[in-house]
Amino acid sequence: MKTTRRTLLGGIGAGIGAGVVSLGLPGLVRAQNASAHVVVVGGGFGGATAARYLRRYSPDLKITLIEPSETFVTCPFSNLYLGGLRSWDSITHSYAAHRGAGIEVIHASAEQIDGAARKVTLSDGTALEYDRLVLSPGIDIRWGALEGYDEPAAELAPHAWKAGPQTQLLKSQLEAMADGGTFVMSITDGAFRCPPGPYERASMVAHYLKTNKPKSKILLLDSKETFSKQGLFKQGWEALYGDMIEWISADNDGKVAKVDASALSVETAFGVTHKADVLNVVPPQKAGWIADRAGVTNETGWVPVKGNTFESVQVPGIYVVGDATIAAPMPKSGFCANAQGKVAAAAIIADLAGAEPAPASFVNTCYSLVGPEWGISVAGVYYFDGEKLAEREGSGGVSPIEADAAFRQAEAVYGAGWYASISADTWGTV
Amino acid sequence: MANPPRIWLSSETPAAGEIVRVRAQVVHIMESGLRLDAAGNAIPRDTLERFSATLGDDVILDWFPETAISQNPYIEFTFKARESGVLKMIWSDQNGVLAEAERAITLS
Repeated sequence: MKTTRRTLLGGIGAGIGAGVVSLGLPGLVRAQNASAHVVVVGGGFGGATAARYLRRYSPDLKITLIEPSETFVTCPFSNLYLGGLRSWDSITHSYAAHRGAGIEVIHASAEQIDGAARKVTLSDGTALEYDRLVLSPGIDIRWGALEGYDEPAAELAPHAWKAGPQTQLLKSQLEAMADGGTFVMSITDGAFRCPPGPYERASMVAHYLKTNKPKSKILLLDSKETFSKQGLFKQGWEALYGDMIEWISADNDGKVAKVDASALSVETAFGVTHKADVLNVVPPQKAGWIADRAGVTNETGWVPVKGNTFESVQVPGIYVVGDATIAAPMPKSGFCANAQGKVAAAAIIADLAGAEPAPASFVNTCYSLVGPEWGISVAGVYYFDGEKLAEREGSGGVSPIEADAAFRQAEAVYGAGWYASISADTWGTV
Repeated sequence: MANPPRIWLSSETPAAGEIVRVRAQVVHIMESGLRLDAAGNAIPRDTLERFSATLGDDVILDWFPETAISQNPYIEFTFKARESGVLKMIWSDQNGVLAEAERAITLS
């Protein structure tokens, strides 16, 4: 397909949210980078978006996407799968649109990244040379950081914090649980993927249990003292689930210090043991392991980046996006990864043309479903202020606490619309 | 004080040479002094200024928390049990001693 400036802009306009940066790209960029090769490692929200937007910005660029899985299952809406509101297929996406856009998709894992030689080595032994690399490695679990929680333990007490077999395991455990059982979730502190995620999960598990096993209980043991959208969640829990969900904060001895997966029990910091029938551990996390091998992580286990381009501050030519990055005040969300993927793609195109990156701006919305017809949200607009990422003053906010049922229902519909839009934007799927 | 400090010890009767783990938490607002109220006035600083742990006459830990410490500070530390004695912990803020706690450590 011959891409004209008109279709290019149309395509960008059809995207959602971020990528504001893209509009000023000069047409001559395409001619100058025609021979360049950009490799994208990771086909989640950040990487899959970056690959498609690189193509939109530059029809002639050589783009290779490396992703081990043939399909991608999203963490967003995986809680709805646990709640019985979504099928597995509906949260699974393919790379057909990428291939259709002339992006080479290789299903292998990147094993080594040599930033000095600009070379990626894949699990099948192939070595790829790149001019610019986009790295979207997601998260990995810090095994053992929470005493007793290692990989074998996760087969008994799933984390389900990377959508896939762990999510299906947790669902099968909930289905096997007897009515009157207790679902216990341990929630980490510090930086973790999807700040409202544990509380949406509690909501969706509550919906499943109320519908199928109404005598059951949910116990949330939190290493934090407050959480995202706390007032809205607690209001919704009380209205929809009565006293089914109990939340214990860190100052009430909610911090779990030790997991005994074979006994399905946890011990708090001050020595109280809680027994579960289904035990879900949201554990300490870090950037996906390939980020360590690429040399882009720092002592925190996460990746420092330049806020205007998302290029690594440690290794030139590697642009890191998504949950792996240190991008506060932006949360670790799929929408942020999508926005960062667009900014990185635009920055790469500019850099290949020897131009300065355009001003970076980002949008994030996190919808959470408290019940099938009860949605809540938090939104923010972020920008690079010349030194760091910052939240645009007066932007965003959370759903009003005093809204009526129609408002909550509308937000549930908007959330589903958000998911359809971002799936179309990221994978070209619905 | 509204709530006594929370204390947990891995053992109060350790063997000689055993590493004893201590976890302790006290309720404190930890107001940094850097925030403004709705009217734009600075909210006065009110932070925990010192936490000390001693066993008999020996200092195990002396900590001077500053403004970056979160509310209800939680601390975890270890020491090697060499002799029996009283583990004493003292939390202080700008008004002096906020809380004290003691646990007898007896070598088994």
